[in-house]
Amino acid sequence: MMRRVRRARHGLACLLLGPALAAQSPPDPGRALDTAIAAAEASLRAGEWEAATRSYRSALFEGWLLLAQRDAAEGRAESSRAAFDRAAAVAADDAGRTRLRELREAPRSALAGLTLAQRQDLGARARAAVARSYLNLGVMQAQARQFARAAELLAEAAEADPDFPQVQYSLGVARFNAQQYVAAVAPLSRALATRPADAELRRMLATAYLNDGRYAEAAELLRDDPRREADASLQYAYGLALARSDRPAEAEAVFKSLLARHGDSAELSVVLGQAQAQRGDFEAASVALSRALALKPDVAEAHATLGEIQLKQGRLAEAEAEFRAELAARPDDLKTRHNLATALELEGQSEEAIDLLRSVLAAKPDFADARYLLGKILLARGEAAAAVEQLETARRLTPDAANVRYQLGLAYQKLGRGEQAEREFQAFRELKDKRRSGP
Amino acid sequence: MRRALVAGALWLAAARLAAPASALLFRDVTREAGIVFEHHSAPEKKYIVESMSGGVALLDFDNDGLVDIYLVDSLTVDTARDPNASHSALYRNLGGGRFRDVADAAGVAHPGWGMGVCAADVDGDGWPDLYVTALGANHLYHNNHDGTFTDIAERAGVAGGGWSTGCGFADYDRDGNLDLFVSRYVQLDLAHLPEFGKGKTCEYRGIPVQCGPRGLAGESDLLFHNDGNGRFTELGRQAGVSDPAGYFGLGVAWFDANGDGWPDLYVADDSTPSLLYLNQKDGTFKEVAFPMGVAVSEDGGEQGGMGLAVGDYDNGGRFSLFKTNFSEEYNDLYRNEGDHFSDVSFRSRTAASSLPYVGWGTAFFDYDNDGLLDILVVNGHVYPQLDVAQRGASAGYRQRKLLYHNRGDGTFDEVAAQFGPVLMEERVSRGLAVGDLDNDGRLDVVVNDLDGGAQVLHNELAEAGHWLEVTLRGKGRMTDAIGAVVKLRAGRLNMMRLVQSGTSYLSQEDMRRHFGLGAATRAEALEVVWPDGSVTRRENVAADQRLEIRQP
Repeated sequence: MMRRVRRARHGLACLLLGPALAAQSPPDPGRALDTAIAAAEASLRAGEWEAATRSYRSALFEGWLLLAQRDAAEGRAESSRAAFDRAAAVAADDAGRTRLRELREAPRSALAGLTLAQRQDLGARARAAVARSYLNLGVMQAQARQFARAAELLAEAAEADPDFPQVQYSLGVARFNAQQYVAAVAPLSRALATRPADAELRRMLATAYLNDGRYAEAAELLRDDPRREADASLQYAYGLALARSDRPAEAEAVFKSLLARHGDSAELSVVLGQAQAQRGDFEAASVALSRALALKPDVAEAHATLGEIQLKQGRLAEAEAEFRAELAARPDDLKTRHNLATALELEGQSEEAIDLLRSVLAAKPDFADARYLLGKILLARGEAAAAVEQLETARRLTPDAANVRYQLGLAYQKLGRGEQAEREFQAFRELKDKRRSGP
Repeated sequence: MRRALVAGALWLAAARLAAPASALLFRDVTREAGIVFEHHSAPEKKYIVESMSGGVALLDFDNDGLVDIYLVDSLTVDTARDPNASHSALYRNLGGGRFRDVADAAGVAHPGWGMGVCAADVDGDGWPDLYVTALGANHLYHNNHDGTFTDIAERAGVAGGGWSTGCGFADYDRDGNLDLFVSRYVQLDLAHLPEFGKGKTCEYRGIPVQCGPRGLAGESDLLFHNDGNGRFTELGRQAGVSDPAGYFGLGVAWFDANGDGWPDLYVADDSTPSLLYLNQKDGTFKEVAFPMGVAVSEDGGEQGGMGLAVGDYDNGGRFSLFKTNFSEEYNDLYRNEGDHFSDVSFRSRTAASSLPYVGWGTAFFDYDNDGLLDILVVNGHVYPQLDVAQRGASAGYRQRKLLYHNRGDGTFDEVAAQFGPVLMEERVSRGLAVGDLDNDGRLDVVVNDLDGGAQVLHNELAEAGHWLEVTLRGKGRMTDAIGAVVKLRAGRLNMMRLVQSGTSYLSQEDMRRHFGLGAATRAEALEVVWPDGSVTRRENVAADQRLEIRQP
């Protein structure tokens, strides 16, 4: 049901060394690393991305080698092995692999002459270079619109140094653009903490929250957005955030203002109707949803919401008709089939309900609600053993679902498994007690 | 008042397939009967205690063969200190469709903050007594045989306390004395009432309403064992029926749930699981509502249980349960399968139509005398504020009644609209009792509304079937034969009826047992299973008569 809201942004920039820093003369063990970084960034400035990529990979190789040697010198064998493995993964050629093998065999020798302070300094530089390399490799991928790959590389950068400049921001933006909204929340939140005035960043995070089901936080971020009133998509996102954070009256006002400004829209009428239904104004909701269907007869969401309204009012035949229309609009949608099965079950049409639910479960075996409903129907038909099979699966999928525990208890009871039944009833009571005492 | 009978197998078959299309079933005769009782209630219902009263009882208190009416009134928070501010009514049936309020003379007019009522001949003197539940002390009005009553609750040890709601008498230990169960609702201190609209459980669809019952502390229940010497001893905890969890108790039904001949006990709880206590035959009970399938809704919903009806609606030889609930839940029809109950609410087609309504009083009764128990439900919301809020799936504050016609195939049709405006009138009803007020063999209805006047509905269905009404006279102190089961065979019909004290929502139905016989002009066999397990049989009993059977 959740409508994904996204606003593509990919304007990430690579982080480049200033000339002074690039010209620094590193101590010998880090020379190759600095050379690789300098080469990469010279290539970047020249717009030679392939060469830059090669050089950054060299930098990664050198950086991981240094970290491996440093760790070995300081007695962290496991960490050293892991760093060598990372170096192996980015080794460019046989020469590199040979060098790596030799260093693996005598890892401490290369840094033998360094003091502890020098080793620490070298390690910090190597880690920063690794982070920088992954960051810029990721940014290049993002600029090529390869957001998923960019997100992987930027995640490496963040792992190497979570506080590296721009790394959280870049990772959040890349994940956002890769539509990895849930994963984008953490880096975007960290980025926003360091740049609270960045309005675009707030909007991205709000959208990520919206897609992560954190509606109240999304609404909070969008509430004072100066561009919201003038920006229909922001306003729409705000309305959704309000509706889904149990503020349907405010959502209704937002959607009404959008409709007033932008004229008839099936999509807007649907969300308006949904907010009105949520507020308990079924009459207004029915009008809005019917309007949506008049504009666009195959709007599945409108049929779905009308079906739910009819179901709540006990108008089972009408609910069934809406769900059938919903199914016609999206025949492969599993939730829609489940909706129709729900109405059919209440009407006593268990055969068709079972067929629908079996088709749902064939496509999505972990659809817990479908398992539950199928189990309940089977139990009512006296097929307790088959019901137990479905309900036990539903319990595994949703152990905190009180309805599942109750029906499973009844099914066990019917099979004469009284102790198991009592355990389920007890679990049911505890879940209800927990809910009663909860917020 | 007799009407012409339309007999014949063809008619009976038709009646089972479809609801009668007659325009008149009930006629509202309240005013012409002289019933002017109006239940008192605060208009805004700022406190939950102002929303839950009151019950109605049908009993023949003067033993003149005509059923009388007792209507329970209540106080409000504003009038709580003045017991005379409420006036319960005892309407003596004068015959000829007329009633007169004799409550003042009878001494039953002022039970304080009255809630519910149940009746029984508690001391076995042959005269029905009244037990009235209340916020505060309850009342046991002992019948003085002269049209007056004396409140002996304190002396008998059954005054209880707190906020009592449902009640019912039964001889649970088969010692020949009627015991008493009293359900209680929430712990309420009138000096420290939860503030209207303040708090999460004091809002409904975003508007402020009365608080509770969720969020308030529940009250335990009481079982008064009749010691046989005019005194009762409270044994709820020892017997295992005290509800230490403090669920919000309302409707009470004593009936034999598992067919072992001993009275079991069901308590409808509001917003919490309901309770079924199976009689262990040793003075104790075992709570089994979950394994028996009658604790919650099909999907595990803790419903707002209010009223109860017990009846063998499918003539299958077992007593099933019907429970009314809050709106947007559904009313439960639990079919008795012997060792458990099945929730057949949706399958029976009684659930869907109930979703918009807050159900209270209810009864299984055969309104058309076709031999199949139909169902009546009276409704009304608890929040007057609902009329200015968004209702969702709920009907408004005032709500119509629901009448379910039994089709004889396990399903029902909701037919209230087919019988004119009487059942469709929107009211705020609570108590409901069914009985034959004019002894014409057709069952009438009395309703106590929370707001406004009571309602007496006279059954005037022209095409009703034959009937039989059985009055039982038990032996010893069990003169009402409470707990007795009357079984009857007439043609293809095999029916049974239970004598109950405490029915519906905080109410008491006419204890005479009524059978619709359809086209049958006689019952081939009639059997009474008395509370002590002994059996009396009759054969070839003619239809259309009131029959009294005495326990040998």
